[in-house]
Amino acid sequence: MKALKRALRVLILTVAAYLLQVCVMQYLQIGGVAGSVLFAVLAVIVVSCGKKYAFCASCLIGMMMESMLSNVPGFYVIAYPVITMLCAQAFADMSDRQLERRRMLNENRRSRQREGGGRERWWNYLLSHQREGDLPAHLRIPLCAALMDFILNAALCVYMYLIGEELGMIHVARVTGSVLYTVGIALLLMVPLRYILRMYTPRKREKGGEAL
Amino acid sequence: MAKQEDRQFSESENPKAPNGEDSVFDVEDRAPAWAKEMEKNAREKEGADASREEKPPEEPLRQGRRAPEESRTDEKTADAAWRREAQKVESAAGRREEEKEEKPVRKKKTPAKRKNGKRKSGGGDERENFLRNLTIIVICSVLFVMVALMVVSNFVTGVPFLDVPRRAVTAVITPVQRLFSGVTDRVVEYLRTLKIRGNLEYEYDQLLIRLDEMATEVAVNEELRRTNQALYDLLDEQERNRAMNPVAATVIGTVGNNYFSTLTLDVGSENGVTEYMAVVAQGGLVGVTYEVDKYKCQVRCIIDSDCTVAGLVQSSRDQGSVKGTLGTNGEPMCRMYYLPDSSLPRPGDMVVTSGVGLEFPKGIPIGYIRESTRGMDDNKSFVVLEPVVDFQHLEYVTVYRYRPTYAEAAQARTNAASSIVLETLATARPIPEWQVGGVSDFIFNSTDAPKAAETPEATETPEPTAAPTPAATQDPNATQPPPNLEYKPSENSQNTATPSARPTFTPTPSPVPTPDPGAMTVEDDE
Repeated sequence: MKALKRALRVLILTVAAYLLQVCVMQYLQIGGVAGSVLFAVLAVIVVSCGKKYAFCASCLIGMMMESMLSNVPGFYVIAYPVITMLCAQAFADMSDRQLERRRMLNENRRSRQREGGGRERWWNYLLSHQREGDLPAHLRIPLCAALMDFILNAALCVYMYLIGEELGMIHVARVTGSVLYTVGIALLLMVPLRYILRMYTPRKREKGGEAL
Repeated sequence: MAKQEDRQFSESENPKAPNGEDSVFDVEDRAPAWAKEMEKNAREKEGADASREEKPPEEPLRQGRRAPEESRTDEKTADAAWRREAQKVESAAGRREEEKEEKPVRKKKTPAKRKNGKRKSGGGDERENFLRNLTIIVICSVLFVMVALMVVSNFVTGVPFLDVPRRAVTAVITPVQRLFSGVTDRVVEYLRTLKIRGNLEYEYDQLLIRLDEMATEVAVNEELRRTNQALYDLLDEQERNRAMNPVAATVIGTVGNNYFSTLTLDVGSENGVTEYMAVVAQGGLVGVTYEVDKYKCQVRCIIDSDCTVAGLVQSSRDQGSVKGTLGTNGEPMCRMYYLPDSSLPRPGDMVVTSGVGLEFPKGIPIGYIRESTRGMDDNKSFVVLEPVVDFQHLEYVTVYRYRPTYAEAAQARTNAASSIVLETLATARPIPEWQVGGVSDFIFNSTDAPKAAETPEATETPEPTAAPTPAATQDPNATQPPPNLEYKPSENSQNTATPSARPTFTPTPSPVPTPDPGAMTVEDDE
């Protein structure tokens, strides 16, 4: 039941994000550049709900975009899930297995260093150290949104180049503006969206027990 | 453990059932094995200490309650009760410790565990996890298939099955999007209306401010235009009468009351202005300078009662004397006296300076004849003139620093004497012949009276030859005017910069009396 509620919330958020993107964002352009509410919401879902929810939401968004705004045939329906899953690999919560593996790798590296008898060099640390935990969620969300929007804009620029358009600084500026705008939207929406997804709700108390 | 012993001690002091009804067997039946063993040891200890006469601490209390023969039985009963209570306390403490041992220590879960809070031990949880994962996999698979179908439908046409996902999504999303788009359009239209209204209000405020600025600017421009027109007229007049050595002056003071009208100009003797010079504005005579200082001078206006200038009716050439009426009846008018008895000027005729008397240029307009009732009323020996100049709006004037020579003065007098019968009078200042020239011939040949040359005193008097024209020759600013110098009025002198409310008169073609005297305004004599 709990998973169903969460899935329902994700579905509503996805549809609302799509409607905002296609109906409202055209009026909120800054310098002719519109941000992506879709990627902001997808970033929140990636960080807050995990890869599976993110994949479902991205597929749904891709299908809606493909069905309603298919200016490049087959592009959105592929791009959104692929980009979302790529970014989810980097920004979603790591599994316990992944965390344990990283911990063991770091421990092995330290053991070898101790056996060697010398101090660990900073470049060695920089190259082989692996983070043993997740970054803060409120940092991952804007980074994830920025990366997703950047990948989509880069893909569109490549497409434009392939069809014969000359790429210039104006395209770079537009990509930069779009990424910054999307980051701003993500910063603006992540707290309320995470609240909607019950990420800030305290756990229920058990009978006579402590708060979990 | 110490707490437990204290509790046992307190329980032994106040046993809950000290009446002895609770038998030891009951305690033995309900007590656990360790309690039985404890009781057994206690009994052995009691048997070993039976010979002792010592009493337990509770003895006084028990003896006080029961009879001595019952004390032994009571001791057993009390010990049993004490042990029973001790068992209860220990069992309760043991249960709590067991609960503590059985209760797992709740540790703070890792984010992964918190996220996947469903991970529980037990077969039911595994089954639930399996079902959940299966559901997710099925959903993801369905979505993946739909995505694949939509991608394939872009490349494979003619297969209706491939368009099913697209049609389904379209059918679901289209009404929702239409509804949301309609709401968005309404909101955007409302916001746009607010924005337009705000812009309109802002523009309205700006236009009001602009209107005020423009009104102020128009007023300033109008003032500048009027000033410019006045200065232009002044300059034009000066250009026309450059020979009269004009100088522009600004009216810096006005003294106007019911009797006198004088002006103060910002030019004085430093500018070559002397007394009795003509002051002109708006194409008409303003007055005569007097009380000239270094940097200012006073002007007595022609409407002043003390101002008298020689005038000439331009049409009939009748000469007279023009005097102000401000002190007479309070009206800013002039009256022309000493006209010939046969002359009856027409209303609307212009009166100009005749150049007689004061050393005035000739031909400066003074005013228009407003009413001419002379002859119809015995008491009236004048005609009323309305000055050309609007004395209420004088700002800039021109002072003509012209001083006519004696010859010109004589010529003027000759013109004035055309209708005057000169009598032979002995004059102390005979007109020198060398100055008069041919003009004097006209004067003195016209009448028989002057015999100046025959007067012995005149020829002997050296004064006329010593300073024949002291003012004209000694004034450095005075120019040598050409002969027959006369004021040149402007062609459009009627179109002055500051038009007055003066009515325009149309002269009648012939100098006949006014046919209807009743239609004329009659001025009462004082």
